Formats: sequence, structure tokens, C-alpha cells
Amino acid sequence: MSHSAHAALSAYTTPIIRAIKTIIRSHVIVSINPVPDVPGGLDAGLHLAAGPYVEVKTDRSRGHLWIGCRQSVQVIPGNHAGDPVAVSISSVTYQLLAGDGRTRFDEIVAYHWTPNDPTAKRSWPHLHIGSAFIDPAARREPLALHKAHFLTGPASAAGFVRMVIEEFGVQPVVADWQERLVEGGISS
Amino acid sequence: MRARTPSSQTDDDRPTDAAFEPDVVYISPDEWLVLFEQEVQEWLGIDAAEFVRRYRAGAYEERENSVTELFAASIPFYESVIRG
Repeated sequence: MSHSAHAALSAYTTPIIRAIKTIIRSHVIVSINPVPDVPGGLDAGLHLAAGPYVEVKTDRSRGHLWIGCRQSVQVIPGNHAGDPVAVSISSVTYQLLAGDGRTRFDEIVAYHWTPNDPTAKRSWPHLHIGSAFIDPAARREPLALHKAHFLTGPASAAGFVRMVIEEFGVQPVVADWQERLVEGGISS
Repeated sequence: MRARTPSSQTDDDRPTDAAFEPDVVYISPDEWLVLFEQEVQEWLGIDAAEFVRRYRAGAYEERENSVTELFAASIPFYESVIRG
């Protein structure tokens, strides 16, 4: 399964990396480890180099913005003969933050999904609103909005990147960014 | 520009059929573990094993520190590497 496992991992990660790299110049780090007790299976970790957060280019009036992105995924035997391997997401996070990067990072929004992490308290995809952007009155229990898990569908890298470009003025750093995001699964 | 690769990386570490973006850096699980340990220590002042233990125990559910959620996305891979 090893050859097809690597191919499946590549097919999964390439659109993610291409989408993220439309707004950052730093590298993406990938590490691969055999899955214990699953012959030919692979675990992989993906994160941004020089992290945990990477500053993105913005209109100056927007201040400094930063993104964080991490994933843990697993490639395991598939259920069908025609589908010998399957990529299973263990945990994925996309974050957008403001702040000077020296004294503070203020989370604006974070997307989380832990569909295959058995100890996670929420297995369904959700978002968090950063506490720094919530009125203190709304941070009191029982509302405590920054702790709430707001239901979403699975957030894709391309979708996240499009959101920060269109809603937060993040500037792409490559000319073909729209094509890359379409490759990543969003509609043009 | 192609990324410089870690000194311990060899062609054998790279998926032979991959069409990865050139700016991807592949690192070995051991190198990844060192990186993860360093960043958890730098940002949280504890080692990675303690971070995972606290996270699993629900210590960060107040969500006052968003980096814990980011690091948490690496926990499944961390546990894979630790298990060997």
C-alpha cells in the first residue's frame, strides 16, 4: 500500500499547500510516520514553517494579520477494492489572528475539526470567535461566546484563504491565486 | 525557489510519486518531534507530553490562549510519533 498511500497523501495535501501558499511565502512542513499496527499506513503532520503563526500581507489600514494552519491526517486501507487507501483527517485547525506579533496575538476566528480524534470533545466542524473581539459582557457565563463551538461544515484551506482575502483584505502573493483556490475546491 | 531541506532528509524520505509544491520541507518524525517540543516549550513553558496531558484533561477549555488549539491539531501526529 505504501506507493498508493504516498500518492493519496500527496493528492490530499497538494491542494491545501497550494491554497495556503497563495498568501504566505514561508514553507509548509510535512512529516510522515508509519501508522503503528497498520501495515503500509501513514500518519502525517502538516504545519507552517517559522510558526506557529505566519504574518500575511494586508492593506496597512487593517493592521497586522497572522494565520495558523495545522493538520494531522492518516492514510489507511480503504473499504473498497477500487479504493485501496483512504485519507482520514484526525484534526485540522485554521486560525486568523490580529496583533503585533511581539506582545500579543488576538484570535479573530478559528476553524476546528477533529473527526477522528477519539478524545476530542467535539467531533463536528465548528468555529470559535476570538475572545478579544467579543464584548466583555458577552464573555460572562452562561453565554461565554468565545468558548462556544459554532457549527460549520468542514472548512477547506481554499475556503479559508478566500475568506481572509475577501473579508479581511489579505493580499495574495502569487499571480495565479484564483486558479489555485479553484483547484482547492471552491467555486470561482 | 526550492526550499532547503533538513540535513537528515534523503531522497528515500520523499514520496516518489508526490507532486508536492516545491516549497514544502519534509522532515523526519524525529525532527518534527524536536520542533514540536521546542515550540510548546517556548510558547507554553511546558514540555509536549505535559501539554498533551493537560489538553486531554480539559485544561484549555477556557480558550484564553488560542495557540493551545493550534498545537492541539498536532496531537494525533505527536502521539503517532511517540508510539513509534
